[in-house]
Amino acid sequence: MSKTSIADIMPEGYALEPGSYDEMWDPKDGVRAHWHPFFSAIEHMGSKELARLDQEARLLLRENGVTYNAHGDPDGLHRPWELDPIPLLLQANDWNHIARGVSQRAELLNLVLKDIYGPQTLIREGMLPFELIYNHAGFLRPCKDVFLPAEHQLRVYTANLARGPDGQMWVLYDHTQVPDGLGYALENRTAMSRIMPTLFNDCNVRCLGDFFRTFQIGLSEIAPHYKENPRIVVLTPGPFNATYFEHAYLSAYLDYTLVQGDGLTVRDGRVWLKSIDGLHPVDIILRHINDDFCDPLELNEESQLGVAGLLNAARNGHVAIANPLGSSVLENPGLMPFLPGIARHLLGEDLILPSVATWWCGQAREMNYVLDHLDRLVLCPIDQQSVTPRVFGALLSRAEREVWRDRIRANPTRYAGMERVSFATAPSLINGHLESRHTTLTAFAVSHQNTYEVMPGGLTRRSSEFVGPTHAFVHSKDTWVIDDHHARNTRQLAPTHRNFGV
Amino acid sequence: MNYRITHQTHYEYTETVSLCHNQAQLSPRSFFYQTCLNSHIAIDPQPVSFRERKDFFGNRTAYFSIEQPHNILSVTATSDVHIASQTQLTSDMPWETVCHILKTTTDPALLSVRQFVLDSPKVSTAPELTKYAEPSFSKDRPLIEAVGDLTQRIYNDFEYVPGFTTISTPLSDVFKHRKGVCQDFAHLTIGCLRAMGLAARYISGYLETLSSSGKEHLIGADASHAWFSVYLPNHGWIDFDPTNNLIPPDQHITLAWGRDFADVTPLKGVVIGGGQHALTVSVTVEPIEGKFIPTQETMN
Repeated sequence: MSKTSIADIMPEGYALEPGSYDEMWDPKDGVRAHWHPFFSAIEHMGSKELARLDQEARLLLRENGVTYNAHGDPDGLHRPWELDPIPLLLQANDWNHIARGVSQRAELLNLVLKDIYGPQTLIREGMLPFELIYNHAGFLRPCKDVFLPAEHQLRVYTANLARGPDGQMWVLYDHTQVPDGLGYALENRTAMSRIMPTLFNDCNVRCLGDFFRTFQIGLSEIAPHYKENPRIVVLTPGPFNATYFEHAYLSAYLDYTLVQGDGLTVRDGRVWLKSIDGLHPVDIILRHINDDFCDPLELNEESQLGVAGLLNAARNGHVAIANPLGSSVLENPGLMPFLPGIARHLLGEDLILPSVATWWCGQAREMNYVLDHLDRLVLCPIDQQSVTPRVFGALLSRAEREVWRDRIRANPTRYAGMERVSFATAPSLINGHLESRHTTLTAFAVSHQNTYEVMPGGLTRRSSEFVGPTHAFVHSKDTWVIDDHHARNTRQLAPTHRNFGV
Repeated sequence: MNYRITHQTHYEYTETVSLCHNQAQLSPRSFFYQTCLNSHIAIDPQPVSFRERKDFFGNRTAYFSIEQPHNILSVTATSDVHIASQTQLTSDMPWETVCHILKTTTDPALLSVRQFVLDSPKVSTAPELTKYAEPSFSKDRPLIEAVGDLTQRIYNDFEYVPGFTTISTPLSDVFKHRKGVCQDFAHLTIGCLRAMGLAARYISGYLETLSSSGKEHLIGADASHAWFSVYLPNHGWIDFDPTNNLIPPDQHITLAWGRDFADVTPLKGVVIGGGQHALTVSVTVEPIEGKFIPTQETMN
């Protein structure tokens, strides 16, 4: 292979977005230090080789059947998963700060969740407005006082992050129901370690295997009656769900049975897995079904996806559900302005990662601000269940803005306005060349022995706009946390289990 | 007054049901003027698990499952209830004052009241409801009088037509066609009150079948009944029955309360199998004279 130049992979230079932070390129010094080994390697490969790897990634993903079901998309069901072979590289210290922030936020949200479904002290003491919770469709009254036998009710936490122009990471969105993206992050890593095995090793990338092991052990901690070797199933809405692939992938990797609602039954107050040789007791359910669809008896009566009697089984402590039913109450942009105060009150700490600036319209001053600045904000209902999706004020016509103003004035506690932030860019492979593209990062935390472990990596998505929770899985990237060479850990060289070689 | 209520629900299925999970809110709750002396739910076939708890609103809520094949399900709730006579309430607190208190209070004790100002699954406030309610809410009018007037107008303007609506008929349809049953009228009045900024809750219960002293039979006496309650600071919750245009004296027996019907469905279930089903419900409410002494039979 001949030595190629930087001009080969970036023939027109590397154009930066004005006012945005770029993950790889420092305007003063060029390629940032933690990108050096990777950058020289791809520079050496050249554009042709990169294009070949891109093709190889595509083939590998097709072969593995990695898809994303985009409803209403011209490609329809089973749209192929797109993986950009250029990962996002994060320097260890930078990452450690992010991970501490994600872990702290999980800790905080767990306390808020326990309080909302428990004594509601935060509401009574005025730390949380009552309407923000009681008007949120995810506040499920039948779930009051239903708890897992553990300190951490929130078992899996997912944070959508984006870096602002100053390099600071911001939290855009909290996911507290189902671990959306966890399986795709794993699949991306598996694919990358096959496409670029040498590079992956040379760059000193932190491995994910330990994280998934921790996840498994942590999940077993919530087993009813502290049962050893509990039976864990992954509950999926089924093959028509957008992210079905990852439910299947994750369950296979973790060695849990993948099951749809009709594969489970509640008898004698317990949950059972139906199989050809009879019923097997289920101890723990890792769910990918939204809260209110999980039990047609006590929650959404229309649901065909859930298991009748499930909530009652959980209430009586015969089954543990991760995350617990009702946890979508935390998926609430209106909570964001109150988190700093609650963090100081409950943890005695400031938030390590700030939330994107958000104005909850339940307060007169904040509502007026939103009404006066519609064109600069992202307008969102406080709950996803709402029929009104979030929109950019700037994209609305004059008439549509009036509709939004009336909507907010009629029911202010149900809406919030969010600042439209400009996301950082990172290099992406576009037609064999590196170009900067806006990205967001999804980070994952799991509970284990009363602490939150954060996956050293995550799911990076190319996204130019402020998107909703799971939409627009257009192009994704692996996320590499780069350790300094002296910190190299030997365990990643010798995976103990085939599954954990990631 | 003491009453014995017998509430029978009978399902007949065209095909065998292999499994069913049910939730019953069929045992009357006790509160300051009502005491449930005893309550028993007889279920045939025999349920496997039967467990009672208090729901979010403090209602007695039972879960049970039937795990043997069956074509008939019969649920009979028998309850004895004591209702103390209430004194006629007098208060001239203007409705605006009530709204103001609900809006500005920081009293944690009023949290449980304020939740009934918000929209609920089956009752959403709408401009048409505000418009309908407004004539009853003139400036500085005492709350009790204003709510009494609204109740009377709904009684006059809406026709009691059983079968015109179902439990899933939206409030806007009831409003448009001006027809419905007790549940619709309760939802409608609750929607109007919430639109004005007041706290109103839905009550599921019963009426005495034959009123004492041979007076006219009240509507809704042969089935479950529904009415509503409005919150008045310093007094508490005051009941109104828009179906019969009265403030319930001691003939209304409260089963459960919530934001709307969805919170207090007397009996609901999910069945596996069953095909088509025929449902019969019957309710009898009989006065029991004298001081109530539980007998061996009712204690079973």
